[in-house]
Amino acid sequence: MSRSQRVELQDALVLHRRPYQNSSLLLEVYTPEFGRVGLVARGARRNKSPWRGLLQPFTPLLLSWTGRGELYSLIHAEESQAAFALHSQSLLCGFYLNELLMRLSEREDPLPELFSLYQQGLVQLSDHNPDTLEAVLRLFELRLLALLGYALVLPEPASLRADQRFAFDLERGEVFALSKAETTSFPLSYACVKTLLSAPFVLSDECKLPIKRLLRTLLNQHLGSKPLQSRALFRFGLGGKK
Amino acid sequence: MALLPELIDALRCLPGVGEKSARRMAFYLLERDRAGGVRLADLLQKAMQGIGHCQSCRTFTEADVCELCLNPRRSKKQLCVLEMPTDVMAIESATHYEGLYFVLMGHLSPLDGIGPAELGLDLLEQRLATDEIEELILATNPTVEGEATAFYISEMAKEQGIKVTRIAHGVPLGGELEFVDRGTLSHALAGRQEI
Repeated sequence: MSRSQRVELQDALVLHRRPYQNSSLLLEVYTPEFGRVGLVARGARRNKSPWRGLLQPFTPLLLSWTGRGELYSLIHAEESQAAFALHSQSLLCGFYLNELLMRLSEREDPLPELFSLYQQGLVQLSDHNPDTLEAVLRLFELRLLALLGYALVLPEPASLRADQRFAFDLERGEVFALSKAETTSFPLSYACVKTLLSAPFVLSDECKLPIKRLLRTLLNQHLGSKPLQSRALFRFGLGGKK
Repeated sequence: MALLPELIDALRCLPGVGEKSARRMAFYLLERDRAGGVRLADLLQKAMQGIGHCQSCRTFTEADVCELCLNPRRSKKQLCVLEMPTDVMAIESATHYEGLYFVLMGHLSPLDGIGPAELGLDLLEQRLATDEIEELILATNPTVEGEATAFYISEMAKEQGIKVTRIAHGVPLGGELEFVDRGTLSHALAGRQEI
C-alpha cells in the first residue's frame, strides 16, 4: 500500500511498542480492517503527552493515522473501553499472545476474525482462572494456525470411536486414526482428539502435554529457527497448583 | 571523511541530537571552548573504559561494588528493585529509604529479546538466596511491562520465602480526581487503605 491513506478511529490493540528517537514510540498494533500496522506516535513519551499511559498493550483503543508506506503517523488515540485486567500469570500469557501475533501475522494483511480471536483470548485471560489459562492459550494457537491458513486437519467427529488410536503427521498437518498394526512416533489418545474438536477447550491433565507438544511442533514449523522469547517467562508454570 | 564532518556525525550518537544540534555543538567546542572539548574527550575515553556494572546491584560504577552497596549504615534487610539507575537517584533524593537497591537496567520485553537473563535476574536470585534480605520492594514502572517484570520477580522471591511488596500507584499529591486518568484512578481505588 504505497498510496497515502488516512484512517479514522479504527479499533486497535497494541502488540508491541518501543522507544523511538527522543520522545516518540514505535507501535505495532493489530486492527480488524488493516491487520497488523506499524505506527509512529510522535512525542508519546513526553511528560505532558495525552497518549502517555494510554498506548499500552491490552488497552482497547480507537486510533486514527495517516501517511504512506510501511510506517504511518498516529494522529489520534483514545481508549474505547477500560484496559483488559490482566495481571500476574494472565499478563505473561497476554505477552505470549502478542508475540505469536507479531511473529506469525503479516503487516497489513486484514483478518477481522483474527482480531476477534485475539480480543476473545484477552477476555478469557482476564478471568484469571488458573485452571483454564493453559486451555485458552492452546485454543488460541489452534485457531490462529487455522486463520493463517495452516489449519490442523482433524478426523470427522462422527467417525471417532473410543477404541481407536490416533497419530499426528507433521508433513500433512493431519491427525488421523491408526489401523491396528500401525505404529507412530507421535501418538494421540481418543480423549486428546476429542478435546481438539471441542470449543472451548477443557484440558484434562492427561491431554495437557500431548496437545501442547502437537501445537508447538506445528507452530515451530512456521516460526523458523528463532524460539518464542515469552516462553522463558513461564518458568514458574501456569495453573493454580503450586 | 574529514575530521569536522566526522565529529558532527559522532555527536549524533547522543540521544536527541540531530544534524543541526550536532553541528552547533561541534562549532561551539572548536570556536569557544577547546579546553572543555579536550576534557570531555578525555573523560569520555576514561568513562567508557572504566565504568562497568556493580557486581552486587548492577548500577553503573567504576569499582567492583558501588559505594551504596558498600555503605555499612544501609540496611541489608530491604532490597528495592528498580528499572534504571536514574530511578535510584530519584528514590535517593525523594525518600528516606535506607535499604539497598537492585537495578535491572530495563524491563522484561520478550519481543525485544530481553528476558530474565538479560536483566541479571540470576544474580538477583542468588542474592535472595545468600543475603539476609527480609523484604523485596518492587519499584518497577507502572506499565504493563513493568508489571510483568514485577510479577516474575515476585514469584522468584516467593519461592525462597521472602516477603514481597510493590510500591503504591495512585493519585498524585495535590492532584484532583477529576483530572486523573481512568487507569490510575481504578488502581488507586483498588489499592485503597484503611485509615
